Amino acid sequence: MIWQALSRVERSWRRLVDRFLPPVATGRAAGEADSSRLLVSVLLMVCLVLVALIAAWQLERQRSHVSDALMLCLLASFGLALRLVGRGRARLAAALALTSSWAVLCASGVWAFGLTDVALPAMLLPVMIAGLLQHWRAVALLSSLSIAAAWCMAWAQAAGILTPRAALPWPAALDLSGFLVVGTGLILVYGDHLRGQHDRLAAEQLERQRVEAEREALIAQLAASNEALERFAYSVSHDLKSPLVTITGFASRLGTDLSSGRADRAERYLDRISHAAGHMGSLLDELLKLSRAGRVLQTPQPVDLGDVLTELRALLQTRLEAAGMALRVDGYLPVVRGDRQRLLTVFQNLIENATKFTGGQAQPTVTIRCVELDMSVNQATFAVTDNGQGFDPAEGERIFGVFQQLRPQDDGLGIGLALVRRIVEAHAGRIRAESDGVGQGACFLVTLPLPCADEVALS
Amino acid sequence: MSEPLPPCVLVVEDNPDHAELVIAALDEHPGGLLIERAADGEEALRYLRASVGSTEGDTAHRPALVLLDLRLPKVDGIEVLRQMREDDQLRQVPVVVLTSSSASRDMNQAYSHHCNSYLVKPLGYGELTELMGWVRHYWTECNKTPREP
Repeated sequence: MIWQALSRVERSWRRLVDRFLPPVATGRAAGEADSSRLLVSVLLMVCLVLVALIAAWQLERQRSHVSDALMLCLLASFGLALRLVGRGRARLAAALALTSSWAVLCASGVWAFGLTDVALPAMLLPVMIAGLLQHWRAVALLSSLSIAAAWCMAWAQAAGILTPRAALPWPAALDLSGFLVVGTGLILVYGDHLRGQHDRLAAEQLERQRVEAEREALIAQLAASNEALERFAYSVSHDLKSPLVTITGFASRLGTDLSSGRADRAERYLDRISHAAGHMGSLLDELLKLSRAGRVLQTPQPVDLGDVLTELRALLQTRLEAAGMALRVDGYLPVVRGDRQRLLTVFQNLIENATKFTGGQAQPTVTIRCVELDMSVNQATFAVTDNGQGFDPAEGERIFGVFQQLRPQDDGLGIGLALVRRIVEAHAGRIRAESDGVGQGACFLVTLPLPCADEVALS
Repeated sequence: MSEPLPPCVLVVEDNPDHAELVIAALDEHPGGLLIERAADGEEALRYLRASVGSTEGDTAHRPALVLLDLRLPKVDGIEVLRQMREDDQLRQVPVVVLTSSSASRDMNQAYSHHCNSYLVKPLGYGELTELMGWVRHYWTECNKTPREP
């Protein structure tokens, strides 16, 4: 019953707060900003009610310029606090509102009407709120300031400085001190407890969100790899079936021919059959290569790409010369992280690809350079650019498919780029191809991870 | 009154072995048949547009049937089908998809682009010949399409 009523009150309170204090944008976590906004607004409302009470009381008892000035100061500080909330400085605003209301309560206690029974719990109120909202140091400060003020008053009365009406006798000051000490102790213990619980809950929620995000990323990754597998199986089954149709087709024709005594076409048919079988054999070999490429064999380690390209230049020399192609490395290539042999295969395939599709260029060139170094995600992007044949931009994705060739007369089996993509993805990298169109050259952008800081130190 | 031309079948097939087998299988059956072959989607569309473009000149014979492979260079089979169905003059030309793929994704795509039939290339020449016999009989002899679309 009580909890229901309380939660109803809390709900209407939230609505009220939302109406009077629109959400503020803060640099901090949204949850924290929200709860401090709520707490600050509670505090401000409480203080305003107190001020109104004091003002009414004040008017009834006496008119005093001191209390009018205090009221103005208080209102000004609340105004400032509201502005601070609006700028997202919620905790500072809370501290300001707290200190000013505490100061006004003390001052009106001292100068205007002395510390009465009503003023006693009222004095503890800012301390309590500070305990819930602020650091324990704020509680201790406010509490000791209150005690000091009470003791000052008691001393002033003993010394005959204050009028009896505004005074506080020593026993009352002692009572007040005891009250404040016990109250503060309780607030510190429970405030700490509450804050601890709040922090734990907040940490748990953050952790939950992190786990959830991780899970979602995993599911998306799984779905993507499932889809890739499906595409792969589809493509492979189609491509492997094609030579089978040829083999069985010509084999039946050969059978019919032979049984009817015709042998003139037999040689041609056998030729077709063995050609298709050979083709199927190479498809299977390439598939095996592709499936092996998906595994990163060696523990990833720093790989100097400059080094890799020097090796490739020697390895591909004959091929480059045959195509009359110049291989250029522009600028400095950073050290990346991965399996050296696999990364060599990546660049070897990309360069061979360029030598294959020169598009009749008089001076075919392939250039490798680092185009982006993103330290925030520890990745580098390399561009392998050629001035050769290029491709239709709409085919940019298809060229990475298994056994995909843009033109049937091209030599090779259409596995090179599929292999490259598989290796790059096994390194948690990305690859995409860009071209302005047929005859405009092609650019392959390969993103690879950089070594971690400790690996760099080791190397 | 000139002799009516024999019905024409356009075989769109990039693999030369498959094209030879399909054409031979079609030819196994009696009766005149004009068989044209296109090796890729672009060539097929060019032929088809020419066949309806010239009404009297008959540079290309308007096909009674298109046998269409799906995986084709340059313009793939589905795209050929889509362009045919968007073309007022080619919309009614019957298209039988003949492919080695039995993936439901391909069938869905082919039917949603309004192919008239979907056939999977059988393994074995005897089966292929039998199938081509039915196809030829049904689409070039039984099936009727309006002369002027």
